[in-house]
Amino acid sequence: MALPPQDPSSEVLRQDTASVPIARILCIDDDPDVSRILKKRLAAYGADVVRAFSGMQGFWTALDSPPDVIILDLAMPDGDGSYIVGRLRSHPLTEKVPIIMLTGQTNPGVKRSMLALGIGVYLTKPLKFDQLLRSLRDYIDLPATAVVKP
Amino acid sequence: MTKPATRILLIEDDGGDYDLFIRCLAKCRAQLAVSWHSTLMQGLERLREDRFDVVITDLSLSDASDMQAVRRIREVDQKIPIIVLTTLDNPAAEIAALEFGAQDYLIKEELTPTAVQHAIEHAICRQELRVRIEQLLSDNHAQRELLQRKNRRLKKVCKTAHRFVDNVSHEFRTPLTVIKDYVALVREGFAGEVNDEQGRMLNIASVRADDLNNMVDDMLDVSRLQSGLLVTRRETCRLEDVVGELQASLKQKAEVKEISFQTDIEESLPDIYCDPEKLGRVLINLTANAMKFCGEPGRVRLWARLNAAQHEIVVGVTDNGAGIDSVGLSQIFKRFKQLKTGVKSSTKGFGLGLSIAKELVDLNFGSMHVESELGQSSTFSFTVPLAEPVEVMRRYLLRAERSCNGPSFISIVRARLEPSVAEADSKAMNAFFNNLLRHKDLLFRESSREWLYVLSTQQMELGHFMARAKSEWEKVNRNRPFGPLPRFEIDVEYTCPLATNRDTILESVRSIYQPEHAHTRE
Repeated sequence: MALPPQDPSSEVLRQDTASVPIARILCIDDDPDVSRILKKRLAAYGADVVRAFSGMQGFWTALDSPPDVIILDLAMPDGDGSYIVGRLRSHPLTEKVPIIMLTGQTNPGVKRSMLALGIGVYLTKPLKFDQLLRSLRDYIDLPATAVVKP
Repeated sequence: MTKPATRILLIEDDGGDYDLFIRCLAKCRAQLAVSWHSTLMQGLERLREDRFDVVITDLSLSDASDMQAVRRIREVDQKIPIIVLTTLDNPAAEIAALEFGAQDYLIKEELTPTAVQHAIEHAICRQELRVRIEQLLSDNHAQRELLQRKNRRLKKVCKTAHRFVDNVSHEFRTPLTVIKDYVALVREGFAGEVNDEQGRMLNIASVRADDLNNMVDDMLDVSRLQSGLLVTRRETCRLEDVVGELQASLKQKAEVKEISFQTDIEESLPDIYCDPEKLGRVLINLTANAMKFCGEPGRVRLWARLNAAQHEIVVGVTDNGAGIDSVGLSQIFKRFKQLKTGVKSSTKGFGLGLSIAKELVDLNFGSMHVESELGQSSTFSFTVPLAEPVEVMRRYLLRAERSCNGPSFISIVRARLEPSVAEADSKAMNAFFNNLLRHKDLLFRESSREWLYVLSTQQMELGHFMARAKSEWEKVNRNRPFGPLPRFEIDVEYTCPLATNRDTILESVRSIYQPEHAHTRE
């Protein structure tokens, strides 16, 4: 789904589109700033970011209402993100939800094992937002341009 | 100076044999002092009290038979040479005596003065050597154990260092990234309108955060380079993309410093083969250097052009600074070297940027150059190879020859997909094949269905690699939410020891690689 052209006459339509989120993204990261920044940035593309701050909280949130994409941190206080990947993959409600892993861990061995566990994309911090946007577009339709609203 | 007499302890229960032996010794030219005891007990007691150079003993004594005498003497003195004196002409007994630690075996009937004298001298000499050898062996053993202990410790230290570097990197970067992200959010108006003055200040904050980030990167790179922990992930990529990713922050920096910054990249340059992250670091360091030392008003130009003859792209950064004299040019890439310049900069940096840039360029199979005209300008330029397997291999082999602990075998492995495989699956497989890459391997995508691996292996590892490819594929397929990855075939096309002549290897690569596939891009 793409935003209609930036034409003043389509203002009403544009507001309507903005009120219905284009996609629901669940961001699981123990650093609240990481998910707050993503929420702000992705809102400009009409996506709704739901935040969770631990692996298990994320898992239950995902079961509660399965998102379109999950962005998941690897190292969290309540355990390794790989455990959550396993649980998400083995539950019928979340087995097909794409997972983008976003981590500070650059070790290629870790990346391989995560991909083998069934994540779709492995991105490392510091995050390049364009890169995340490209990865997200593989799974969900996002408008070509951002609409910044304070 | 006369040599002191050789002291002999003789244990012999037969008086006749003793006389015979003493007469024999009397004819020897060497100075000999003999102490005689007729039983083993007395002999051993004497051996404990006095120092002797050699013990000569009969095998059949009243208080000892067989090899008991030799064994007991050895027990009392580990180092003394022993000569057996016997009537028993029996090769098995002779061997047994030697095994129990005797140096020689003399038969009474065959005694001559020369034979006795030689036997004594040789026994002393042999025993000395033996003791020495045993000492050396035990030293060697101790050294080996020490080395093993040290190796274990080093491995642990290395692992700790690696983890430490990773942690430091993570701990520094996380807050830095958050700072930068919030600054950018505010700057872009996410938190309300920003006036020009506020925008300028936020730009400065962002540039300074970048500077700090680069300094952290530099320090981490230095420690990784020094400890050999810097991992390279080379791949086929486009220079425009790498520059494109940096463009915004470089421009912002130029703007803040009021420098005119130009990028001048030749159009439609062919693909290059390098670690894009390292290439980016080189570009950042060279531009940061240029922006620091450019003239007033500052002008910095980032340019790139194709050098088809050398199969490479030359990338350069030119500034309008005061230039560098010949002494400076010879030292400029030294670590921590900061030339004395008239530039008054608030941040001096560490003098790491250029030396790291040079090493990263080398990791990407390129070379670094600097040219300068005093009072006019300086140009730092480097090369990076095109994504042509033969050329990359040539540089790879040259580099491997320079590093002494390189791999011992080079193998070329081709992976293929069925022609019917969909484009999306081919893209997923490209990611899959890239993930199989190990630190020193190369991978070329020949077409959308064919990949070429260059693996540097120890002899046995090639089989492991093939098996790993299959098992990773199975593992990924077990958990892949969008259905299994397509099947692929993987074959070894060529393998040879790295010591083989470089041209021979390159010729084989050339014949395997089909140049009509070069630069295929979907």
